Amino acid sequence: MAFTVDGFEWDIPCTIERTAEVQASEISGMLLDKTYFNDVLGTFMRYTVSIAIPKGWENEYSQIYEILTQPSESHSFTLPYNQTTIDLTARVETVSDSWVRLPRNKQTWRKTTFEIIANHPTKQMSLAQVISAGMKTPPENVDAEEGLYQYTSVGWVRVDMPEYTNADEVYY
Amino acid sequence: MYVKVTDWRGKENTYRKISGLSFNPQIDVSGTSLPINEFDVDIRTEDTITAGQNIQLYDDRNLLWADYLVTSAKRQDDQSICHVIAQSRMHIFDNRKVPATMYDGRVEDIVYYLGTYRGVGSGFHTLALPEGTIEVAASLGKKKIKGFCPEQTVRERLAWICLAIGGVVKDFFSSKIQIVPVDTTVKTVPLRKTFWKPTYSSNEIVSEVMVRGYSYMKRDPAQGDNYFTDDNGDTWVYTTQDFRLANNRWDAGMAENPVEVTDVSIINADNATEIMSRIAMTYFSEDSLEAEIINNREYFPAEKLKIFSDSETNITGFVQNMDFSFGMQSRAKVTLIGAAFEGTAKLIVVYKDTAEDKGKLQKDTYQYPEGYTYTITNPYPEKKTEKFRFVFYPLSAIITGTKKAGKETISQECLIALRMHRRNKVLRIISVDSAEINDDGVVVIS
Repeated sequence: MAFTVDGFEWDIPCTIERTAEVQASEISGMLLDKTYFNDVLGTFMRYTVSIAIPKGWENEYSQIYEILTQPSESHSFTLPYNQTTIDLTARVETVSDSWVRLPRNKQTWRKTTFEIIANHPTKQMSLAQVISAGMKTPPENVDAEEGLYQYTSVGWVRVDMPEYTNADEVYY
Repeated sequence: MYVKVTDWRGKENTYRKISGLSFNPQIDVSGTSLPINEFDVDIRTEDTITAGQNIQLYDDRNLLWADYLVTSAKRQDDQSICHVIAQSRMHIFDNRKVPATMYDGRVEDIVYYLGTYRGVGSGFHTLALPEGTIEVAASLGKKKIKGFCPEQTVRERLAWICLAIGGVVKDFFSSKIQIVPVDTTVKTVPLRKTFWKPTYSSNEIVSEVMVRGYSYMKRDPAQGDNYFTDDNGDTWVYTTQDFRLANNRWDAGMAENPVEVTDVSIINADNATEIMSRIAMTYFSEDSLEAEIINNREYFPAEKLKIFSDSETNITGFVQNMDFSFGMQSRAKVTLIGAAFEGTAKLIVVYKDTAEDKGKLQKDTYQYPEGYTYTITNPYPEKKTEKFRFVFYPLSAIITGTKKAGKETISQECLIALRMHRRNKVLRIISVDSAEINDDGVVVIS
C-alpha cells in the first residue's frame, strides 16, 4: 500500500515528497537583545504526492480525483513516515494533472500531483514546556558586562574577546 | 488559549476552536476612573451562546485570564462562528444605583454591601452576584471611609472608594473583582523579553493637582450653607478646603494644565494629601513609553515596570494598559506612564509650645515625594483643659522646605495667643494684637 485517502487504500506507483514546516505564530519578532523570538506553534507535515495511473485504472483514478477535489475542510490520510506510516488529518491545497492526447485516438490523464498539509501539528511542545525552556540568552542581569558569552553545560560564561588581525594587521 | 462557557443548566462547555481573540485590560493607577474590561473572541460552534452566560478565558497551562459575562453573542455570515463579547461584572455595577449615603465605616463592610446590592431594574441587570464577588485586600479593608456619597451607580461609588483609599480594581487573571493597593515594587522587563523597538513620547506637562476635601456637620442648614441630604432624610452641612500640589517641573512659560478633583465628597483632610500624591505620581511625569513585550501573564496593568527603549535607556512607570496578542505564547503592547517620583513618604509637622511649656500641641501628617518643595500654611493649634481653651499662634505663618527621603519629622514653635474660660467665656489675649471668637467658636486673630 502506498497511501490511503479517507480509508481507501491506493497501491499504485507514486513519488511522495514530505516537508516538515516548523510554523511560528504572528507574535514572533526581533527582540532588543538582537535575538529572534520564534513563537513556534508546532511542526506541520506537508506531503506532495505524484502518482502514475496504471493502464486500466482510469475509473479508479476518476474516483480518487473526485475525492481529492471535494471542497471539504479536510481528509484523512495515511502516508509513509520514516520507517512506518503516519495518520494525518490534512487539507488538500492543490490537485493538478495533464490531459494528453496520443496517436490513434488515445487520451489519458498524466502527471497527477496533489499537495496536502496537516491541520494539526505532528510535533509540538506544551506552553509550560515552551516557557520553562525559554530562550537561551545572556545572563539575566541587564547590567552584565559587555563582552562575549558562550553557552555551556553550566550556563552562560564570559569568554575573552579573541584578537583578530587582518591582512593589514588591524586588530579587532 | 480556550474558553469555557457555562450554559443555563450549569453545564460547562469548553471551546478550543477559537480565533480573533482580543484582550486589552486596563487599570487607571491614578484612581480617577474605573474601566470596564472585556474580551472579544470568535468561537467555532453550533451551540447556542447567549448574553448573561458565564465565560472564562484560559491559556494552555489552564491558568485563568478572565472570568466575565457574555454581553453579546452574534452569528457571523459563516453560521458556524459565533462572535462573543464578554465584559467584567463591573458592567453590572454600572446599571445598579445605590442611594445617597453618609459613610463612617470600614471599607470591607461598605464594599461587601455594594457587591451584593441588587438595586432596582429588571431581567439580566438584577442578576444576583455571589457573596465575595468583590475581594478587598487586607491592607485596604480596615481603612475607613468618612463622608457623603450622593445617589450613584455602584461602579461610580466603587470608583470614589478606590480613589479615597488608594486602591485599584483588578478584574482579570482572577474569578473575583479585586480591590488591591498600587504596588510600587519595580519589575524589570529584560531585553530578551522586549521587542524591537519601543517608542518614547513626551506628554503635555500637568501644572498642579488639586483635590477638594470636605468636612461635615449634621444640622439644619442656614442660609448660604452648602448641604447634602442622605437617603434617611438627614441633612449634612459641609465646608470644603482645596489641597494643591504643584508640579516642580512646570514653569510659567508652559500652558496651565491642572488636574482637579472637586466633587468626590469622601475626600477629607485626612486622606487628601495621599490622594493628591498618588494622582501626581502618574500625571506629573511627561514621559510615556509604548513597548511590546513577551508576557505570559507575568506582568499586569497597574504594575510598575522598568522597560528599556534600547540597551542603555529605560523608563520606569506604571502600566496603563496591556493589549495582548496570542500565539503559542503571548505578546502584550504596553503603554507605560512614567512615574514622576518613586513614591511618597510622610512629613510630620509637630506644633509645640515651649514658652509656656504646654508641650506638643498638634501633629499634622502629609505625604510628599522625595525632593518635592512644599509650602504649608501653619494652623493655630488649640489645647483644652477642664477650665480653659487655649489657642496658640505659630511663630511662622508658613513653612517651606524640600522633602527628604523617607519619614521626616519637623517641629514648629508656637506661642500661646489667647486663653478663654470655657464656662464664662472670659477671653484673655496674650501674645497677639486682638482676637475674636464667633458664635460658632471660630477664632479670628490679628
